[in-house]
Amino acid sequence: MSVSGALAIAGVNLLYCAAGYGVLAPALRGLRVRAWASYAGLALLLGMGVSALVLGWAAMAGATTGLVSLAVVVVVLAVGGAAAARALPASLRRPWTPSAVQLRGEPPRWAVPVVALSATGIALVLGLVLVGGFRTSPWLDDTWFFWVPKGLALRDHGLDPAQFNGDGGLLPFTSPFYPLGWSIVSALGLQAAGGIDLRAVNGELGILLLGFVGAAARLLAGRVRAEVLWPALLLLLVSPELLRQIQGGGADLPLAFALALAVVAATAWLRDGDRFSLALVALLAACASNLKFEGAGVLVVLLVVLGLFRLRRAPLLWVALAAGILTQLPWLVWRRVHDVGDHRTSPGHALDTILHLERTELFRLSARLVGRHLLDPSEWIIVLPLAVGLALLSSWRRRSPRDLAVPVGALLVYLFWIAVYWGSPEPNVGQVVGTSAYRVVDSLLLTLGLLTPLLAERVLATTRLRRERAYRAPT
Amino acid sequence: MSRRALAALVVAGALVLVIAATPTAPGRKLRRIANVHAGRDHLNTPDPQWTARVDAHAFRRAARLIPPGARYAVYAPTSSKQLVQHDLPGAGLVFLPRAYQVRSLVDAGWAIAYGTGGALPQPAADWVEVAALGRHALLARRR
Repeated sequence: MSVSGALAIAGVNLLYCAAGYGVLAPALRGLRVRAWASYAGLALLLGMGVSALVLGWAAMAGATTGLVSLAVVVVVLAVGGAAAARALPASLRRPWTPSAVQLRGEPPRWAVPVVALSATGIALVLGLVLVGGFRTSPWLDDTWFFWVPKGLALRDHGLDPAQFNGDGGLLPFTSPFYPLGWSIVSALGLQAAGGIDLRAVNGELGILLLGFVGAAARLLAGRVRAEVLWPALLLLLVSPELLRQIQGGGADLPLAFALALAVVAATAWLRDGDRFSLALVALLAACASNLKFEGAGVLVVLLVVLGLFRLRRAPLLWVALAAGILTQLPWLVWRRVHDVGDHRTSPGHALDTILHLERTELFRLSARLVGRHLLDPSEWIIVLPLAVGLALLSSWRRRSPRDLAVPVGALLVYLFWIAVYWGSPEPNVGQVVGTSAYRVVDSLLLTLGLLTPLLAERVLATTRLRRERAYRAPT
Repeated sequence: MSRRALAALVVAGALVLVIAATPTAPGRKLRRIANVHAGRDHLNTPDPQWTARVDAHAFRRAARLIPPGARYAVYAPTSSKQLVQHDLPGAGLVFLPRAYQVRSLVDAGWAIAYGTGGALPQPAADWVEVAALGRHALLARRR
């Protein structure tokens, strides 16, 4: 890709950042410039997700979704956010500043080189991901077969029902029922690049990974000591499967970014009652639901986990998650009005299949494949065993069942995917399992990857040597 | 760790990235690391990674000739299911977003005849050739 094309895509991401800062502005008002800058990754991901959500709604109202529409949405979000920040009473603003969260005590001497080496490693990997992304056309055929074409059609024709339901003899898009978010974002990248250059999609994914790491570091800093946080992020970042899929072009990784960050924000709400984090949960859940319909499914599993563990503050978290999922209501209504069906999931068929214990071979196949992709160290190193092991250890040391929510949640997501495949009405579902099981696990693994430093911190805080640097909640 | 050591780390990291981005021999080696598929040159393309070989140039040319809003079909009398059901329709969708792809020639005002050896879609009397789209395809318009 040409340098000008890459710079143009970077420019689109600056627009996302502006939109994201607009959304965050009410919470960040009063912070210093450096503190503001530390939210750049979160602003990028939120700006991308919220802009795509609003553009999707605009498309349902008859608008097209090109760069001009994006610019309008960004101006509205940025100006609206700034106005809201000014209008908000000071009493509401103060508790929303998560910089109040911090660790007590001085770090040990060895912590500085560990942090420096890890941060340098992360910077190098991200740099190489960017270089590689702008030089590679996506290897996943879904990218050019329906994600990008759908976005290009939205840009050129708006949301034309015939292209989704095949009326009038038109060739309908494959998987027309998917939400519009990733199609809109990937097509905006191509438009910025100045033509049909699919490397723009991988370049965009590389930039979003940069944002994800920045956002994760921002949300975890202060809650996890730096000498734990940065090596943990590096461990996740060098997972071979993450680096492979970042050049695939599909929606699974952006979905995983949003879900993983939503869970981290949820933990902050559950522990500290931080309202900023609660608002983030709702926003990130909305972004996730708009990227792939599986996002809503995983969020429902999270709701179940919260219910099982009867965690304090869970009711408001339910409201936040439900609010995020409900942002897809207009899309569901539009689909119903225009008869855009979902041939892949059918709750009635799923229950029927599972109740009658038919297709047991499909159960075994999906259980084996999803399980293998979760545990294969050549794909995600030791992300899952490490997180589950730390959760068990923390639960044992603290004599508290709360941390068991992590392995129970992982198990439920695993069972969720088996049920989705097992109950699918698609005739060639065996082939679908084989070609998608490696991707659907992304959300769970990135979530566990971000929970790992939090769990490690909880374990360390129970040891005598580390207690003096324990996490201190905001007062 | 001293400030000097930290600065050295940052400079070394930046140097690696600059080398990776420059057209030099070490840069090429680093870019192979950056590219998960071992930096094979054919991946560095604006076109899709086809599952069956498609002449992307033909579709790019067709995109310049078919007017926005027109209805076109891809006509390919071949036994390759992957090509007919996947890659050719996908090529049309990604390269010709301003036009509408239809499932049947009956509904089409334009046709991309792919791999026909220069033959028009059937019945040939209904179609007139507009342009050759390279070696593999031609563009036809309904009379």
